[in-house]
Amino acid sequence: MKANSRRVALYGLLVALMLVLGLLDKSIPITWFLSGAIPGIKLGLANTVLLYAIYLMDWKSGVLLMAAKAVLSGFIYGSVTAMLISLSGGVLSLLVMLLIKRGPAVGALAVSGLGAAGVAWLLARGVTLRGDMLWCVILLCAACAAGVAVFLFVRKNPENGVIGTSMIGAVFFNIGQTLMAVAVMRTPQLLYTYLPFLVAMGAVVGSLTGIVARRVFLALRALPSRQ
Amino acid sequence: MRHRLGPAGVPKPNGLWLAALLAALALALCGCGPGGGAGEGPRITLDGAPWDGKAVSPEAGDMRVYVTLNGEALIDLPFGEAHTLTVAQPGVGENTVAVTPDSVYMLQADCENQDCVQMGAVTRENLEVRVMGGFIVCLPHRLSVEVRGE
Repeated sequence: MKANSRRVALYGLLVALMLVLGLLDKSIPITWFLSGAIPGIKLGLANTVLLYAIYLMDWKSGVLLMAAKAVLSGFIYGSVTAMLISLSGGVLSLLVMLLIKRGPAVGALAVSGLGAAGVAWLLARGVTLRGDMLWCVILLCAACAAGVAVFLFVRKNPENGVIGTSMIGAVFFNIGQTLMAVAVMRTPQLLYTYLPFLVAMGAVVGSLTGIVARRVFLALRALPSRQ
Repeated sequence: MRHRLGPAGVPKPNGLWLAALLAALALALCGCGPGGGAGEGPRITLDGAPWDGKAVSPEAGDMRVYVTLNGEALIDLPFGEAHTLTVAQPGVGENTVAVTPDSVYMLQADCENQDCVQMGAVTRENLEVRVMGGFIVCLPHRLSVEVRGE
């Protein structure tokens, strides 16, 4: 019973932390730093809590926290549609993160491949390299480079694996969200225009939150510190 | 009095159980959310007056502004004339789309995130290079605006 109340308290704490970090995400308008207004881009700091759960607790806790966060923030901030979209992103991203957890280097490499594929696809479609689309190609190249860098980083030191997991989790969160948005709005055209941006931003932002999560893990002495 | 969180002998609450409960709650909510409610249709106001349902300048220009609600065509306007369109969905919310001779943008929306307002304008110049192409989307209200040729 004592262990049980400990668990209840821990879950409560983690859910509250996720909601607060979600609020913090909203107050950091990172789209302002980019030339165009890319809607729906945020840092995804709440994902660090999810990474904590799947690395240091178990997959069931991950599922519970993700569902609780999506549903509660749906109640607090948005509409049913927003909740659905958040939930689909969360489910897909959690699934991919749980799968890739054992080999995070592969995850980083996959992100890199997605970035390269995105660039190739956009160029093959004859996209006009101006304005936002130029940014999109630059971002995808950055995502590709970041994927390779994280791959090497994780290969060198497996305890950095959380960065690779975070990266691919963020990318698939965005993919899941876009798929649900396309299904709800019935606008498949968004897959050509919006998805490449989200993949690129997911890779960049996911590696940032991964670095944060790694620092948190080290601070918690959850991972063997390098010295 | 030893057990404050529940009577002794109650099985440990399983995380998955709670997750399933929350998911069921979410699904129940979807049922009474937009689209599920008893059918009061959207109210469309064009240039200050209720829209009469007639096509708006069907022959004008090479491009049109298509407004879609829940994936279904609602109304389309010529791109090149000035119009103000308001779509009010009872119990959901209200969007106002401004069409000027050279741009289309979301003038106003009473949703929480304001993404559609911040997406800026679609013009002839940025149609090819904009993040969302010719689209302006309000996800919470399931409303989309697209500028494209016939």
